Amino acid sequence: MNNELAFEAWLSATYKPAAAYMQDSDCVEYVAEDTVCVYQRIDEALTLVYDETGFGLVGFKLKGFRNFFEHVKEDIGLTEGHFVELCRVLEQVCLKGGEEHIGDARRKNAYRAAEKIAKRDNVQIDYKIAA
Amino acid sequence: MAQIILHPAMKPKREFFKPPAIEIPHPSGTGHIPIAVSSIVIEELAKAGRRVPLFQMWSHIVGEMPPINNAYHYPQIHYPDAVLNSIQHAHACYKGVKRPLNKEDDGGDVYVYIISTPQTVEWKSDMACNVALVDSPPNTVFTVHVRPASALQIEAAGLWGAATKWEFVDADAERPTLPDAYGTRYSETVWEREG
Repeated sequence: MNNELAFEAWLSATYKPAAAYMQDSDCVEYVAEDTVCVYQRIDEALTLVYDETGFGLVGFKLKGFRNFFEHVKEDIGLTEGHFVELCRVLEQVCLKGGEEHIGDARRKNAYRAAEKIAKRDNVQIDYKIAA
Repeated sequence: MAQIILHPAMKPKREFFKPPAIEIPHPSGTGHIPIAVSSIVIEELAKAGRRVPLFQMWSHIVGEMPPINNAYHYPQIHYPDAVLNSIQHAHACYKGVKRPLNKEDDGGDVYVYIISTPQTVEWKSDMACNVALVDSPPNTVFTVHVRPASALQIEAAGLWGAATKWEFVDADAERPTLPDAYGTRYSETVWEREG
């Protein structure tokens, strides 16, 4: 990005949504729009991301991702070379949450909303980044 | 001696992806500490094409407009009274995010600075300037996560630590200058100066 022209191209390019792993905060984040976002904490694993109005759901964040992924990668049956479908990781978070999720409508609906976006946009992350 | 006055449309002499080290209020509440913004996070956001969080990094952590063409001139024409507050104006600090973080089970080394900022910055498609000043989302506060250098295993070079995450979060219904459920979402209140 040192090249001035490359920087200007990056600055004015059309945003292409993709999941990103943030190493220092150990999160995977997906947002469908590069806009001012509002992050709504659901629980220790999931945050929903809304647009600047606070009403339009544009994405989600899976927190403690590497920590959690270590525990579930075999359950999902993943090996190197795969791309990890985030809707499957969300399902696993729900399963591990078990009873806690069943009785909590807000959490249940939040996970459902995140899964819906993950499926709709086929959100994936490279296994090598996740593992 | 003659003074050089830059034309307001000129680009400031900063490298967009290399923000300077900054002084922020010490977690103890007294004095200041030098921190950087995590270069790893900057790179990850850049690769993902996320311009808005990088603009917010400049405005709400570094305390300057993003160093892009016309940013010191053009957005202010459209929003002359905009106020952008930065981490220097933090009015509360908490410790511990109560969630797993890499090898840690509780994210206990994370300090969370709370900022109220009436306006913020967003990306817009505009030939004159790609940054715009806009109102902050209603009923929100801006949070910045800072982790000590020892936790990040970075070469400190005199730095106390690095900002690793920053975002708007819902404000608490009873104390709207603080994050929603501030009393339970963090392990410890380090200091609160208002609200």
